[in-house]
Amino acid sequence: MGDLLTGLAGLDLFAPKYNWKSELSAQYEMSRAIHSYAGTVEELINYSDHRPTRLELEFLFQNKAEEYDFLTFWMDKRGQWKKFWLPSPSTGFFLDTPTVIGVPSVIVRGNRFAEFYKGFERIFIQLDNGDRLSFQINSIAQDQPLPGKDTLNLGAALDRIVDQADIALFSLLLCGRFEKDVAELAYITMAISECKISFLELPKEYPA
Amino acid sequence: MVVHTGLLYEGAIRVDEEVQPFYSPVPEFPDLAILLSAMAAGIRAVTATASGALADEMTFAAGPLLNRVYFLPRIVDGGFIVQDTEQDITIWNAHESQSYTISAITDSQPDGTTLDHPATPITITPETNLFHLLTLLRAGPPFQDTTYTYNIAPWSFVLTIQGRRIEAFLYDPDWRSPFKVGYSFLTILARSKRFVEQRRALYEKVKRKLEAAFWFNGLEMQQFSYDLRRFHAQVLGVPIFSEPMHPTTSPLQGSTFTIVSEDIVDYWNLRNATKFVLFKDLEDKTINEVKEIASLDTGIRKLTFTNQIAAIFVQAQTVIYPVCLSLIGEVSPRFLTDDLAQVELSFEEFKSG
Repeated sequence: MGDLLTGLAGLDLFAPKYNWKSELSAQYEMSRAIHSYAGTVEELINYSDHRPTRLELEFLFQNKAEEYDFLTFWMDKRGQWKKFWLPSPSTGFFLDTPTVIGVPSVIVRGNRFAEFYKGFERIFIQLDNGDRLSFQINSIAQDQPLPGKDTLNLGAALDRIVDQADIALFSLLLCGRFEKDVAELAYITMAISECKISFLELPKEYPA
Repeated sequence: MVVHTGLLYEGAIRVDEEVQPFYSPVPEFPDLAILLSAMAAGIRAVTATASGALADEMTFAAGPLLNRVYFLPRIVDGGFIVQDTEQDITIWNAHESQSYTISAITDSQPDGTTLDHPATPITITPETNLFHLLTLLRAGPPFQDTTYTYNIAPWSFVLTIQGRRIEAFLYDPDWRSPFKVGYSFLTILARSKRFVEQRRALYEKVKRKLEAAFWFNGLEMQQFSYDLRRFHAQVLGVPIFSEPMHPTTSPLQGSTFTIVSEDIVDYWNLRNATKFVLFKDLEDKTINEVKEIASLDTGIRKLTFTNQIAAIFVQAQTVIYPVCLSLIGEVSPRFLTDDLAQVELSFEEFKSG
C-alpha cells in the first residue's frame, strides 16, 4: 500500500535497517546540577526537562544500492549539520486494538508515556511488509477507552487496518543529528560494508 | 589552436608597459585581428553616423587596441596532469608599421614541458601572429613550476606554467582487513547546558580518508619502501577498491570510451566524487593509465574520457577503479621477517582549487 508519512514538518526521515548482530547501545545525557556547601543541604538544579538520547548505531549494507542511499543521505546532512528524524530502535508501544480506517487515533497498552508527553512527539510504525507510517501525537487520553489502555489522538487518520501482528517496530521518532562529522564504511567485500555511527537527539529542535 | 579539455588557464594582456588583467571565459582565443577589424569597421560606422566626418580621423581600434604587442596566455594552470596537454602561446604584434624581435627565450625548471619555437632571434613583422606550441608532458616532476621568459625589447614577457602530476598507487590491498573509506565534514558547533545548539558547516563537499592493509614480500617490499620515499609529498591516484569495473569493449588502446560489466548506477564515488579513473592490468602492474572522465552514462554503463587510451590493455585482465586524489597519511608497518611486512596505510584526500 505504500508509506503514509505525516507530521514530519519537512524534515527527512532516516529509517535504515539496524544491524542487530551487534548490540545497539544508548546513553542518556543528564542536564542537572547539585549545589551545596560541604556539610549543608543540597539543592537540585534542573537545566532541561528533556534529556537527549545518544544512540550508537551500526548498519550492514548488503549491496551497493543500500550503501549509495546512505551516502547520499550523509552528504545531504553534512555530518553534524542538519537535523532529521530517526525512529527509536527500541519498541515504544504495543498496539492494543487494530486500527480503524479513517480514524485519527490508535489504542495502545498503557505504558506511562502519557506522563512524559509534551506535545511535539511523533510515532513511527514499520510494518512487516516494509511500509512506514508516521504521525504527530496531538493528545493522549490516558486509561481510555479502558483502564490500562491509552488512546493516542493523531494528527492524521490511518488509511489502513494495522494489527500488532503486522508491526515490525512501533516507536517514537527522535529528532536529532549525527554526532560526528565522519562516517566510516568498512568494506567486508567490494559490495558489503558496515558502518558505525552515533546519533544525538536535539530536544530543543523538535518542530511544534 | 589546440586546447584539450581539462586545461585551465587564465591570461593577461601586456599592453606596452602596462599590464592589464585579461580573463578568458572560454579556452578558445579568437583571432584578434579579424575581431578587431570588425570592431573598427563597426565603430567607425556608428561614430560617423553620430558625429559626421570628424569621426573618421580616430577609431576605437586604432587607439586602445592596436599599436601594442600582445602575449597570451601569461599563466597556464595544468591542474592535475594525467596526459600530454597542448596549448598555443600567442604573440601578436598589433603595431601597424613597427617590427619587433624576440631576442631570446629563457626557461626556468622546464622539465615536464616543451615549447616549440624557431631559433632566436625571431622577427615579428607588423600585424603578425606567432603561435608557439607549449606541451605539458604526462611525465615530469610532481609539482610543475616552470617559467619561459620572452625578451622582446624593450619588454620581457613571462609565461608561467603550473600543475601537479598524479602518480597511480598500484598495490593491491589485503582484503582480510577491511578496506575503509571515511567521509568527513567539518561543523562548528556551540551547545548550551539546556541543549540549545548553533551549528555551521564549513565543508561544502565531503573529504575522504582511505585506509587499507597491504602485504609486501621480497622485491616488492623494496620497491614499496623506495616508492614511499618518493610518494611522501606527491599526489597519488589511490583506487577506490570497493568500486571495481571490468571493461567489456576491446581493443581499449585508441578508444575514448569503454563499457563496463558492473552496474555503476550505485557506485557513489564514481558518480559523485571522482574525475579520474585508473586502468590497471591485473597481471602486469607496469601497464596502467589514469584517465580523466568526460562523461558517464550509467544506463549503458559507459565511461567516456577526455582523450584516447594510450596503453595496450588486454580486456580480460584489466580492472578500472575510480581514484581518490590523496596524500599518504599514516604508515604503520609490521615486519614479520627481514623481507616480509604488512603495512597499514591511510590516504587523505587532497582537495585542490
